[in-house]
Amino acid sequence: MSLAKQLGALAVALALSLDSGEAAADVVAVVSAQSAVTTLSRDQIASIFLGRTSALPNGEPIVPIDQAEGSALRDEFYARFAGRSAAQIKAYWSKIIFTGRGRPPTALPDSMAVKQKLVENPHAIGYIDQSQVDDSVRILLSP
Amino acid sequence: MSTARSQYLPYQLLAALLATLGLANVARAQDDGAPTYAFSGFGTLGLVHSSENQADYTNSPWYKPSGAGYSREWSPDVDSRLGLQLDAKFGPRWSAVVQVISQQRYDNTYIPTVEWANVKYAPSPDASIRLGRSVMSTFLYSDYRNVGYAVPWVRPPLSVYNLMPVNYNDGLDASYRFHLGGATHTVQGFYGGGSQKSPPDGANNPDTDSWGIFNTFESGPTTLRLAYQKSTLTLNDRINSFFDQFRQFGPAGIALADQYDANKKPTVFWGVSASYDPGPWFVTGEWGQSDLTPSFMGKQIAWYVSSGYRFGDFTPYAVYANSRMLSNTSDPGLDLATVPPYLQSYAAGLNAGLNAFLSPITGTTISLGGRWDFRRNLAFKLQYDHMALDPSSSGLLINLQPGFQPGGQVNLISAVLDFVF
Repeated sequence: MSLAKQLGALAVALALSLDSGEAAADVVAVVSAQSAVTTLSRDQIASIFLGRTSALPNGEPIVPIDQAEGSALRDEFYARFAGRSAAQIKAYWSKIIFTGRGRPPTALPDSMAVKQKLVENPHAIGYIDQSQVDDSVRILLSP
Repeated sequence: MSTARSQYLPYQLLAALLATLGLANVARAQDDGAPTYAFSGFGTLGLVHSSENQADYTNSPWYKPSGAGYSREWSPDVDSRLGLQLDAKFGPRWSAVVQVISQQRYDNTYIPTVEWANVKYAPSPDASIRLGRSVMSTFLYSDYRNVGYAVPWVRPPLSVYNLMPVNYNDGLDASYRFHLGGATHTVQGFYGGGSQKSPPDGANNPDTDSWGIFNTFESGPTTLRLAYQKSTLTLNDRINSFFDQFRQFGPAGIALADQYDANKKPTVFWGVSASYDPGPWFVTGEWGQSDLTPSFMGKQIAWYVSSGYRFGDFTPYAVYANSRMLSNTSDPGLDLATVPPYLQSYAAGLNAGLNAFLSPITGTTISLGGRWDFRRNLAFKLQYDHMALDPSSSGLLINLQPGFQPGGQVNLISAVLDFVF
């Protein structure tokens, strides 16, 4: 095996070990069942959670609700929807915070709390484990 | 006089504004609820070793007095710092931020200095006006260059980031963001001035009538940026007394002093940045040109390209950086034949001093390093820099000793621990 092939195999092995290292949670992006929103693309959802936009394409305001820092569901959400690791997301928000340009979304402790918030605020968007989905919320995208 | 004014006026304005804001806040408390506060911080613990023991390497040649090499075998002063920030939000439109940083200062102390202190009014989530102190976003990483955790390398490439020796602005700053298709455009402008102190004795570096405009285009993983800045700059007001000595030598001496002193000189900067970061890897590059002519700082261009690949928590990276002078790097100075004999050795000394100021600071730097995100909110970085200085260049080294040989090669090893909280 050539050195290049060996390095390639190593990279693949590392990438696989990273994937399997993540929790097997199935994360879905959700809004209140009362919300007018029915579809959003993965990029649109990522933009909302990264603070790049605070409005939907139709001009309606949208407020992202995060889950607790360090939770497997949160890491899974950003890996799947934004293609970023927890450290990359932290670095991203560090540059926004320490240049006075904004603060990260409000974080709630678990999927129950997120669902409750969505019911209270039809302009909110969150993400929860698929097993927690019930009539109170609508799934926007399950990757 | 304008120096003193530019230093103190923004604080008075800020104090007045904060007071008004306090009143405004009471008035709007009933509809928006109580103000919310957030406290956060960042820092770096670093050590740098340089192969050149006849000069010091520092990350801030204008504002730090010493570094790695001559002063210290392993210097903590190059990268170590602690920053603390308090954010206050008074309803959806008004907010304020204060950030102080403790790092090596001109006087070799770590007394904290105010890096950011402004009040922001945001009529919409896409528009804002800030009054107070803001760090200029001259380059892609300028306004958070101290937040090591948010920067891919141990430090942004110095030959590029040193092109403009001005860091923050006391004044007004406005930003407007708009969406075009899937892309985001952010136009930012500032106006103001400021001053920072230089070692060893706290000489001032006042800039006045400074303004700039930055346009950032973001689309998915792509970021493109254009920057233009202008100001009237005085570099180290004590250096001017050196150039004033030329003025005693009649019109030829006056012409030299006017050409080379850095006293209220027009300064123009152009910059272009591009970055592509789809997640698993990144490539980023910046190009800048600073024109401080007529002054001894001259006209210079610098650029770098860098790339890194993320293997899980480990990100190896490489940087290639280059700088070069576009203006002259020597001058014959005073014609000694026209100088009275008893002044000739004095004039020769002045000529030598002038040429020391004009000697180049350019070269090529190749950096190899790695970032390891080994714990949440903690990153360890190790970096090797190889600097090949241009002929007769001292690079950006400071504290040059008599034994220093310009135009050589210098190697650095840096290890840092970056954290945010």
